[in-house]
Amino acid sequence: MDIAHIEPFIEATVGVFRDMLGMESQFLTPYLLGADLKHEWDISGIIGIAGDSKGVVVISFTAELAAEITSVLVGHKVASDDPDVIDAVGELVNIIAGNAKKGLEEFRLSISLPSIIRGSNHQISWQSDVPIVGIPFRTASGKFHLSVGLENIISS
Amino acid sequence: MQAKVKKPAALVMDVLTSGTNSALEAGQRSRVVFLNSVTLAGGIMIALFAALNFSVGNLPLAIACASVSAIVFANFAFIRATRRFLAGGAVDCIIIFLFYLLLAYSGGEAGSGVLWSMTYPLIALFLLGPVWGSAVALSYGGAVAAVIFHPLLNKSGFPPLYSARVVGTYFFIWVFALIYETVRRATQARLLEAKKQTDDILAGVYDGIFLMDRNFRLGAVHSKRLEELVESTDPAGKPLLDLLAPALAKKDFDAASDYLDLFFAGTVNEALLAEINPLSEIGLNFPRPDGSSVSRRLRFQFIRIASAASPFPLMGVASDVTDEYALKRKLEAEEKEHKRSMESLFQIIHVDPAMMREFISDTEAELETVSDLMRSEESSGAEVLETLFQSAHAIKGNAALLGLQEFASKVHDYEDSVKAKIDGGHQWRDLLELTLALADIKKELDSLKFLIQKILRFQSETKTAGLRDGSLLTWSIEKIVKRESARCGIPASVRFEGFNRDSVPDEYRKLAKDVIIQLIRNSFAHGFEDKRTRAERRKDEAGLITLSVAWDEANVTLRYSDDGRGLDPELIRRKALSLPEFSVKAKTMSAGELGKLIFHPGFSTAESAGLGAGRGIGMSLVKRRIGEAGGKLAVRSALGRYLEFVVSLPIPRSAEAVS
Repeated sequence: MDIAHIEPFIEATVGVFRDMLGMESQFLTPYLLGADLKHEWDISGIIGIAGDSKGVVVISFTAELAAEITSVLVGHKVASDDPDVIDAVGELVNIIAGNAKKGLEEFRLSISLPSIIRGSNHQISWQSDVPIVGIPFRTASGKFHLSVGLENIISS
Repeated sequence: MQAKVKKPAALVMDVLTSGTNSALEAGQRSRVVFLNSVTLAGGIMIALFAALNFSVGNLPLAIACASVSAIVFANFAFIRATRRFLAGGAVDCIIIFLFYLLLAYSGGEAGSGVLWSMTYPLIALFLLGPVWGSAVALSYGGAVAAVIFHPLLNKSGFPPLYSARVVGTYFFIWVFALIYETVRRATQARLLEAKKQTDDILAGVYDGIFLMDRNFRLGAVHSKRLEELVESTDPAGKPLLDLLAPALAKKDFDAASDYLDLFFAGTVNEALLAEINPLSEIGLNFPRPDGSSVSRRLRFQFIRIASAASPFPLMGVASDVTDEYALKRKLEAEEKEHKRSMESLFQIIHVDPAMMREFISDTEAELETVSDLMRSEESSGAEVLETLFQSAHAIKGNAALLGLQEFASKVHDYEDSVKAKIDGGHQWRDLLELTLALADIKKELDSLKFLIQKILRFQSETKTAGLRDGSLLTWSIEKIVKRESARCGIPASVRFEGFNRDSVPDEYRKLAKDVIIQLIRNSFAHGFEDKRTRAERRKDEAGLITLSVAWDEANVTLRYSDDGRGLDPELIRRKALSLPEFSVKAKTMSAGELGKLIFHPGFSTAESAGLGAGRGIGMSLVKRRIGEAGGKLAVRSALGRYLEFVVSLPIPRSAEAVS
């Protein structure tokens, strides 16, 4: 896993949170994510990556943070089960993916349109032979989390 | 010699084609044959006419005819010599032009001479092509019209309406001849193009493609490559099996012969036929005229042609699979070799898979512990780094002792980078970098695991070694001592006291192993003296490590001792004085206090850090691990004689129940 492939996603995420939502993100210690590890996320956006590196970047949110994000975006308070939440998170992840793309221009990488998964404590089945790195963040309104499982296809 | 004895038909063909025979394509050839026929027939006819006139004494006409005849024969010779067919055709056209005009003018029987004119457009178009032919034919039409319409020239006395019909008929013949000729030329060109493409394909394709008739004789059209594959310059018309016979074993020849017959049995389906094809991959040895032979492996496929009425109802495709076959053989041989070398490798290293498996599961557990700590939000970055460092050290030690040098040095590098971050301060980015590097180590571990599983499977297949039962712990300690002894070049042995299957509770198995490994490394790095010193101190040349376990009501006590140089308080003091942290305190420390310094993180008396020792982390790891398990650690030492570590751990609940 090349840090240069991952940093653009982190920068894009933190940047979008700061610029669009006015939320400052605090970095927490990254860790190795066991393949079967259950977590407490309620909604996740999945971005596929192909090219020099192959794999997936997942951005996960708690229901509270997702609702808060939606509230900021639509301009009024929404509940966490509001249908707008999916759209708002989808749009947010889409923008993050788009911004990350700029940072990845120097590599031969292409990234997919994000898909959104919702459900409390949903589980993501990762490719078993690639270690997954979890990168947690804290904002004033709740936590979010980047999970990265990338496999170098062409080692530099 | 043979060329001179020609059959009459061949001779006629030679004359009519001006010696080109079949060299020209069919369209052009028919034109040349026509040209020569017309020329010859005309020349002979006019010569006969001249002879007739000579015999009746009509001298002027006879001479005229003879000279025209001479011109016509000269033209024939000219065509034959130069093969300028268009020029020859033009000469013919002019002569016929004048001759026909003469016939039209002279009239003959009831003015029927004009009827000859009707063939002129056909002759002109055929000999000169649509453009020049039309020009000539239309000029002739004009000339004839002038002759039969002009009262002075119209010898036969045709009424004007009759003449008009003659001219009209002539015109129609010209039109239809033109249409026919144009269509014919276009078709010819298309056919020619298609044939050229087919020829190119057959010349370029890398397989031997051919058609066979019901007697399995090859058709005339086949790909060029076929000739090379079956070593025959002209396979057309020969039965396939005759071509292969000199290169084919008798058994295969019979099988192939029976097989081909099935294609016309009608009852056997295509898929089955393909499956039982004895020529699907066949080794052939073609003898060469010079006595050598060429070996080739060919794959033949046979396909029925769909149209049943075809004179060649079977298509064959032959491909050269010699290289493919050789590669396959080579791969098989290599795989065999690989398996053999794996077997010998296994015998040489004689890795005990159970031990390896233990290493893997221990390391996985270690990584999980670290990851849990990293995940916990309570832990600070510094704490995480410290744990990463110690874990890496423990993993490295285990790996090195099992002889996994590659993996150990990878972890060693990791340890270095963690150390750099601890000393140089860290950012969040550094933590991410370390986590990613940890992920790489995890991946490496996964592939090791895969390898070990493979070895295990291999073992159970070959049954060269069984799993050991009994105390894996003592056995692996022995192994580790042996390996470390070989690595450091110091002979040593280990003695166990009170060890049995249950003497170390399961809960402490990993802890005991981690601790003992560090202590063994310590003994070899710092304890055992060189041969000379040991001899001076009246010690055995081989170092001795003694391990014992004892239980009392509350504790299980593990004693580890070596008969090395023991702790040297002055050496420790000197080292401590060089470190800013202890430089003042060390001056006044007692021997006991100095002894405790070896457990301090970052303290080592070794000069430089290597895979074996020198990080100053091993002893602090021992102390920390024991502390975490609620145990106590004591050190006893006599300078120049021995060093003993006493580890006492509370008896775990589960073991209490058992005892």
